[in-house]
Amino acid sequence: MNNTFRLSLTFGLVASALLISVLIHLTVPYSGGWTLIQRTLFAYDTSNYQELIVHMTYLPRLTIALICGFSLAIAGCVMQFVLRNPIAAPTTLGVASGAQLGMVAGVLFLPAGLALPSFIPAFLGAAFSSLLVFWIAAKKGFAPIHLVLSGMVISLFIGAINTMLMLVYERYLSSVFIWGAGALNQNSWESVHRLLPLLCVPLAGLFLMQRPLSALILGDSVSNTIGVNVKRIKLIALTLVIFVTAVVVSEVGIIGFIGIVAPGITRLLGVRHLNAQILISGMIGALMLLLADQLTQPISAATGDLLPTGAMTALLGAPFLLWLLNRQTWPSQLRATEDTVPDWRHRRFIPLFITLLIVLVLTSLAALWVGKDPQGWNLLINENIVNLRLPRILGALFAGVGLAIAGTLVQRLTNNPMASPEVLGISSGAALTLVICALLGLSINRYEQIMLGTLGALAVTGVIWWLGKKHRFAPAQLLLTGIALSAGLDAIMRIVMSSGQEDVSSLLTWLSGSTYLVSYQDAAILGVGVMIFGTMAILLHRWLDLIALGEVSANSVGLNSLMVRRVLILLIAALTTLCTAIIGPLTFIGLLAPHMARSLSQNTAKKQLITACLLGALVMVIADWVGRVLWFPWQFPAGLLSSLLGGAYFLYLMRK
Amino acid sequence: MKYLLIGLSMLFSGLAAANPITHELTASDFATPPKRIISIDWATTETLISLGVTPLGIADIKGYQQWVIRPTLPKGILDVGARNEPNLELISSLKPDLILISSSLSPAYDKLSKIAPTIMYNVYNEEKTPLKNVQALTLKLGNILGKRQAAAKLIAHTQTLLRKNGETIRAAHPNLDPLLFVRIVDNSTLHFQGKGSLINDTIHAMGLKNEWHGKTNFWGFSTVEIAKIAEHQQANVFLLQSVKKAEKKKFLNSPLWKAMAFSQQHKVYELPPIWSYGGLLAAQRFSNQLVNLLTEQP
Repeated sequence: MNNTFRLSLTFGLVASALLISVLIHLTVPYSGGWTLIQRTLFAYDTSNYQELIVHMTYLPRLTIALICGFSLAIAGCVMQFVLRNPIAAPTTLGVASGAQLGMVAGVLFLPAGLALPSFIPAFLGAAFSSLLVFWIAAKKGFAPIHLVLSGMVISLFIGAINTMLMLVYERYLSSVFIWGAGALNQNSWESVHRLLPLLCVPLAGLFLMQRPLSALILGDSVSNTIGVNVKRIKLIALTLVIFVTAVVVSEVGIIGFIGIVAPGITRLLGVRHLNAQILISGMIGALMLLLADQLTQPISAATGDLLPTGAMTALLGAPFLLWLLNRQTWPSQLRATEDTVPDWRHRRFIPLFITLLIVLVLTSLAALWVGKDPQGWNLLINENIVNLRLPRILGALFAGVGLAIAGTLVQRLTNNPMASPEVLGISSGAALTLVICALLGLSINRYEQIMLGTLGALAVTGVIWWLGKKHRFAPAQLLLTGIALSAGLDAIMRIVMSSGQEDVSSLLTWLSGSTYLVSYQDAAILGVGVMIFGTMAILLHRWLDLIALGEVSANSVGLNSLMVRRVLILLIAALTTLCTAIIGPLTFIGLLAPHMARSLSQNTAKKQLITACLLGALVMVIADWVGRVLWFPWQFPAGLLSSLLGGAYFLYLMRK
Repeated sequence: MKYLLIGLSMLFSGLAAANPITHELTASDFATPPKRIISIDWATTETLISLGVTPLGIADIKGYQQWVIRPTLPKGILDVGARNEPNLELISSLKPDLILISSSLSPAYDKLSKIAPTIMYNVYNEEKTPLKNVQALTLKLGNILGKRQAAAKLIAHTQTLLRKNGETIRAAHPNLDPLLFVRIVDNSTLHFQGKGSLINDTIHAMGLKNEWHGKTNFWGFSTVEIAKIAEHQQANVFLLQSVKKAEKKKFLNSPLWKAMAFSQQHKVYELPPIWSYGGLLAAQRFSNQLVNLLTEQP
């Protein structure tokens, strides 16, 4: 095992080094090849503009790619280790959205006379959001599950604020869109000079603390008894990781994928010791990013578009990961290892159900009656207004129900609390078709929009089905397939956004999940579909309780796991497709409605499903109403406000 | 279970078959010229005002005042919300008799056309001839709104002005190098204006040459990395307004930029704020600014 591993590792390293040196030869500007680099390095002549360009743009870009790939992969490796979740990324704890908020705020609110590099506000934003995550998770003793959840909720929450600011100020923010896709282009050595010292110290720190860190593998309680201060080690490690990530993200923008995949490949190679894992992840990450950047440059030159490396990495990496998934059995368990016992406090279901139902009905009625006009609030209602408002309310309500069910099913199926319907990539598929239409400048009407969205979602479902068959739809492969697919699709979207769309806002609106376009007919289709599939899900509640036991135990009590998984995947796909085609991809409900139900102590599948439905519908109806009236005559998509309102409520629950 | 999905997709395709064909509205559809007009797109708003018609409501007044700037909006126009989601309740309560939108709102066409006759028009489309398209839009609106003469006059005046301005510039600089229009996005990314942009059409109408012939996007510009500019060092560089003053100053002082031939030969000009996605008045204003910049030279 060890020998073959060493061999394959060495072989891989040599092969990629060769490939990279060939690619460098090809990508040097003005087809200068290595000779131009040599001349620039050893006989630099500032009056020769070719050497100047190589010195000022090409070489720093290479260096930046190596540094960032190395740092992100290490950050990802330690993050996955501490959080005990193999799909955690360096940005899981809210760094990216915080940095983005900092960027946006820097562009919009800093005085025009101040020449601050955008690094500073971005870094402050990242620090702010990470502190917020820590503050919330502190209450529960920094258990991995709570860190992850608060990180994701903060990401959604701040992400919603970012999107709202982008919708209003899109024209000022083209630099933020490019940053969001992770462009590595340089115009001097300034970034390298800034990154190196800032990264060296925390990375050295991570290497130094690998010994106490590896004690965490025993689980919190055991480590504590052998005299390791778990909480302190975790906090120090996470702080270092977040610092590294924040520095990289603030400087070059969002580069996904490397931080998740490089550590995964390292584990796949069979590297066990944490020390070796960290180092090898870093090397693989550096090579991956350099390779991706080197591949991006000729593609970019051939198509004549600027292709940001961050997004391209995901785009090039996704097929690679899918290929890897398809030929190799993934050794590691991909379910999150949960070591805190959930709160088993009992809360009676029926009173909760009735209360929620009454609140939902009253809220929906209020949303229909209370509106705004230029004179202020009004209770006036006429047929005209009803015809405009009712489809939106119904759309919001049914989408909330549908996604809450899909979310509960996904989380139960994969046994991973970070999973949500869009982790499977189905909604990205729907989004992608529409983004491509926008890119081509096609104007599409509502029917075509719904049709194309459905087609995109069905295509992705087909891919998931086809790839999943081989692994008997094992949750681990399912999640990774979904991550690879959605990362690839998401990358295309970010490239489109950064390519300077002048109507990014209409795209952003749809991508945030808006009820603006819902007609009676849409609401009816959505309602009927959600009713059918939702009822089926609730009728299958026994299966859901049983699969939580794991495949072996579930099979031994007579459950056909394979069939259960197939049915559940189809249900999830159907619900997600319906909701996404009609409302757009909603992030919040699918992820958090199941958790909200759990935090109201509804733990069995049936109770969790029903409670999640009602909560999802309630949050959506309120979000839609607030989005319509608060900034009258401006409106914000219900999807964004559901992240804000629901996120705030969820954070309150966690901090309580 | 697979059949459920198939059934679902058939349900949707059935719906799509009921796709209504959008009817192109012309002047004959209106007994009297519409008076209560809601204009969502800034290009149509600008054209309306340059024809002397005051719309009842437009989208994003603040944004218009910041980006389009001229023609200035007459007082008393209502804000109907964002351009991507104009407020339907407000629009319907205003009882308009004409709504003007661009195709980015085409999914909302059905909802809007239930409120009032709706015209969808795109200055930026796959033909990539925005100046011609703006002229067509001006004529179309002139016809429908009973302002035929004003429209014809505006178009003729624009054409004469562009030609005259072009002659002035060519007289002052008989051997003018091609022009490159650059927007600084961040310290390593630029936008070049090319085919399909209003700027490109305008300088062609003035008889001037654009340096950038690369592939452009739908809106007529290309996003390029900074290294690309080294291939265009002989051009006259015009900077469009974008980033903050301090950042721009830093960018223009970077060693890379200073080493370029255009910087050393002082061929870099800064354009005042201009709406590069505007209509005929924007084209007029832009060509006047070019004359100012290129003839002020000692």
